[in-house]
Amino acid sequence: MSEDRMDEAEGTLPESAEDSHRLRALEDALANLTQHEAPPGLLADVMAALPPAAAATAHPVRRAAWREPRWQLTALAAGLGVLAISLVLDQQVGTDPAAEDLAGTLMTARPGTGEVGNSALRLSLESLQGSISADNAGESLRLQLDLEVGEEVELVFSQGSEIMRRTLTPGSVREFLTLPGHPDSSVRITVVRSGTPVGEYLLDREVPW
Amino acid sequence: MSEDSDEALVQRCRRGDRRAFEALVVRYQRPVYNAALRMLRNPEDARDVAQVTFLKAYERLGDFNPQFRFYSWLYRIALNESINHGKRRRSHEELSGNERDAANGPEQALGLAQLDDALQEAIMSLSEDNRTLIVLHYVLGSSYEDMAVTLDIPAKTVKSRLFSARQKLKDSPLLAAWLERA
Repeated sequence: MSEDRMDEAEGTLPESAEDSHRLRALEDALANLTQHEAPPGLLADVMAALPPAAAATAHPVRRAAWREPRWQLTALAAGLGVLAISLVLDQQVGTDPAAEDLAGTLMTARPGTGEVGNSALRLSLESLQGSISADNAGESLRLQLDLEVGEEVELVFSQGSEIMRRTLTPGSVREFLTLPGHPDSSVRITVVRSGTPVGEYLLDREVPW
Repeated sequence: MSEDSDEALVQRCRRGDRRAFEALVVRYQRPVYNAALRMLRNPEDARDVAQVTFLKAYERLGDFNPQFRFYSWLYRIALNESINHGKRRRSHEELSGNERDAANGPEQALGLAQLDDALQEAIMSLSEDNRTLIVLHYVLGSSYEDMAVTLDIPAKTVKSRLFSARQKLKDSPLLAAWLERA
C-alpha cells in the first residue's frame, strides 16, 4: 500500500469494524484493477493525424514577437501589398480555374455562385484518386467518397474532437459517410498507407459570405 | 535532465521533433487509454479519446508550463476529454444516469463473474467528479500532490474529496454483495 493510501486509511475513521473491512477490501480491489494494453494501431493513428510540425512550437515566443509594433507594421504593409497584387492579377487573369482542375487543394464554394455549404477535395495520390465532397445532413456533415483505390489505405477524418476512420480496399469506392461533428466545421483528412501518412488535406466547411 | 525524460522529450517536440512526441505517446498511451476506458467503459470510445488526447496535447504543447509534470497536464486533457465525450455520448443516447443505475441494479452486480466488471459498473455509477478522482488515484496512480496539480485544487481538498468518493463507491449497491463476501 502506498504512503498516500496508508495515510488515507489512518484518516478514515470508519464507523465500525465491518465498515473498515469493506473499505479495505475495496482498496485492495481498486489497487488491483486490470490495466489493459493500449489498442494496437493507436500510436500509428496518433502519428498519422498529427498536424504539421510547426503546430507544436512554443506559442509564447510567437506571441511575444507580435507584441513588437514594428512587426505589426511590417505585417500590415505586407498584407496591403498582397491585396493590391491580388486585385491587379484578378483583373488581368479573369476567371478562376475550374474546381476540378485543382488537385489536392482546398476548394471552397465562392460567394455568389450558388454553391453555398458545399465543398470538395480532389485527391491524386498514387494509391488513391478521385474526390471527397461534403454537404450538410441535418445537424451532421455528410461526406461523399468517389474514389479509385489502387492499394489498401486508411482515411482518418478529424473534425474537432471527433475522429472517424475508414479503411479502403483496392477498387472503386462510391459511398456516403456521416460525421458526427458540426456540419460547418472543417474536416482534416489524413491518408495512411501501411501505417505511414502519405497525404493530409483540409476540407474547408467555412460557409461563404 | 536525462535524454529520454519527459522534459527533454517535450523540449524536442517544441522544436518540431515528431520522434520525441512518438516516444511520449509510446510512454503514455497505456495509462491514457486505461483512464479513458475506466471513465467511459467502452473500448472504442476510450480509443478515440486517447487519440484526441494526444492530438490536443501536441497542438497545445506551446501552452504547457514545464514547471509542472508533463503527465499531470496530459492526464488532465485525457480526463476532460473523457468527460466531454461521455456528455456527447449521453446526449446522443438520451440515457440519463438514473436510468443507467436502474438498468444495472444490485441483482445484476451479484451475477457479474468478474470483480473488475462489478467495480467498473460501480465506478460508472459515480458522478463525473468522483469518477475522475478514483481514476486519477487508482488507475493512473497519481499522488495527492499530482492530483492537486491535475485538478487545480489544493492537496487537502483532493484528500477529502477522494475520501468521499471512496465512501460512495464502498456504499454502492453494485458492490455490496461482493464487499460482504470479501
